[in-house]
Amino acid sequence: MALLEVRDLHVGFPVAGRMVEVVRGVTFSIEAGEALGLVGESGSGKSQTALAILRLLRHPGRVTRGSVRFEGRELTTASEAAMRSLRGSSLSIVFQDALSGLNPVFPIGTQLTDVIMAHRGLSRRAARDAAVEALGLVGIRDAAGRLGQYPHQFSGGMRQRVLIAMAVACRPKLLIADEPTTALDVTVQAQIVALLHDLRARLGLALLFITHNLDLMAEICDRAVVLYGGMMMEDAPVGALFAAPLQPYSRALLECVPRLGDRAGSLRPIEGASPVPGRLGPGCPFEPRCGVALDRCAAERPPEQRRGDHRVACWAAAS
Amino acid sequence: MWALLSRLLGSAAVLVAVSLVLFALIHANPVSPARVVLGNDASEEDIAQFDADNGLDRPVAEQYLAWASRSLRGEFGRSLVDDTSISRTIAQTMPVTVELVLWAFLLALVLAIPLGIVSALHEDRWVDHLARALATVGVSIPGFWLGLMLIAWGAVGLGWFPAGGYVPWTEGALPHLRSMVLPAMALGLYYVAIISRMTRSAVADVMMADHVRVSRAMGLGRGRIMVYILRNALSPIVTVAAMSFGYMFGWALIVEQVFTLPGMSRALLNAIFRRDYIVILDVVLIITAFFLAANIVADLLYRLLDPRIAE
Repeated sequence: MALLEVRDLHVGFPVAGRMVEVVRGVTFSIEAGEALGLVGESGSGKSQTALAILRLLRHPGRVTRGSVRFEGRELTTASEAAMRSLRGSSLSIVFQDALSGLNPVFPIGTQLTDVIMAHRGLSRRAARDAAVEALGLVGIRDAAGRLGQYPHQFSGGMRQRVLIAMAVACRPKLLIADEPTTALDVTVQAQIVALLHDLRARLGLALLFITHNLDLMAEICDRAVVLYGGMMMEDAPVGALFAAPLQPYSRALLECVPRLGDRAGSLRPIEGASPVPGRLGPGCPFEPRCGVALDRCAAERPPEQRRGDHRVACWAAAS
Repeated sequence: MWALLSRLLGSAAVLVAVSLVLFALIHANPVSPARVVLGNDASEEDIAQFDADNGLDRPVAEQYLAWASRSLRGEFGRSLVDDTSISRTIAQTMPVTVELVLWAFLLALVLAIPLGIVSALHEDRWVDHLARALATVGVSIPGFWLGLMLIAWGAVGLGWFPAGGYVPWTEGALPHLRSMVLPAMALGLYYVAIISRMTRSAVADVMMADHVRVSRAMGLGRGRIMVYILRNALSPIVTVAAMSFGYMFGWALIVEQVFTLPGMSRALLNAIFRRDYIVILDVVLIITAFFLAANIVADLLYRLLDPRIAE
């Protein structure tokens, strides 16, 4: 049994009386200790997928179909109290808003101990020790001395470390990292990715790493799921995806990444515009921008095909 | 510390400016209080004599300096008209005004803050719409009219409260409090509207913040999250509340007139009718000082509540 199983997940927001779906049937799973990358451009539905797993979708968005199972337990229908005891303990998350993710008027020590006390049933003093330990884990020196400090006394990268400490303080089995480096400087990005990599090894946690940055993803993930227009395009081991992408979108995405030594002016963006949720046809969402589209691509949703440990949804890739 | 000092200096400057403007306005109307004291058929000589005795024949600047130097020594002086001690007049009337404002302020806070929170938690639901409608009505009603309506309802209709007048503490706590209920409502309801709207928008803003989503994502309980939200929303609420407290001293004068309370408005109106310059100046400056003090307190609390500004 996989640690997390997302099956045919649909997420919709009611707009002017009808449901606009931003996630349209996404299926993937994560084994214990595995690191899975969820890749796609903005609007591809990757963050909404993460929020749907934790049942934190902004009102009035909701899961309209499908199932999310964590350790065999269905989350889409779980009680709010059950979700609350799961969040921040065995199923945790780090968001991209590193700068605004901490409450500005409480010392970070209070915020950490509150989370620890909510899940681990420790006294305030024991929770304080656990908070110091968690801060040490994410590489904050003199942690005990910094518990009384406020978020504005930390740099952006340090704040993200504090948020990661908060997320792993209760030893989650799965940590969702939703573009955790977007708000940070490039040098700090690398440090945070290295930290996540390190934490995964030390705590044995599984990672769902959401990003639009393929290089960062490749650094720490075993496997990647490519999303486009709210649909799964491809699901493959990172090596296989980089070496032999099957879906035309994955191929185009990989070609966008500039390499050192490329001639200036040789950037190859994907032609056309990103899909607009609610204005998608019945077929493959990438069809309007796809160079190898067939007649049936616009009319019919491509079925998922399995080839060994590689899954792909594409008519053109069908053999 | 430096901030406090600069605020105090700024407030002192405002007080000086207000006193200068008042002095200029009063002296722009050249009717001497001698007319009031000596009567309409007093001779020109008598009036000149009165003016000379009270220093009213000197240049305006000199009169101002004389008043200012006396005030700086902490003396209020004596009334030009009936020679009573101004400090005694103020000691008699100020407690009534201060008590009225305190009750109205308490009423406003007790009603407004829960109302604003409930409104924010049920954004765009019927509770919120109702609260919003009441607030719009509350801000639109003039205080004196509301006072009259309250008299018609609470005093004439139900007969629970006196229609006006002041019952001192010495005649019993209950009759005293009963005489303050309608005035406090007349003064406070406007601020219920103001403060509840501010509470609603502050709480609603914080609820949308990233850190609240993090708190939810970390599985904190509802009560704890509410504490987090309220503590964040506190700064703007406290600021508006403290400033409202200052404004109330101005509106209290009108409410006192409607309910015939012997507060500072009575002293001020008497002084205006009798052209008792010094009393006018002193009373207005005391009200200004209350207003400025409320602003300074608002500022200090704001700094205290937000660690980012505290540094």
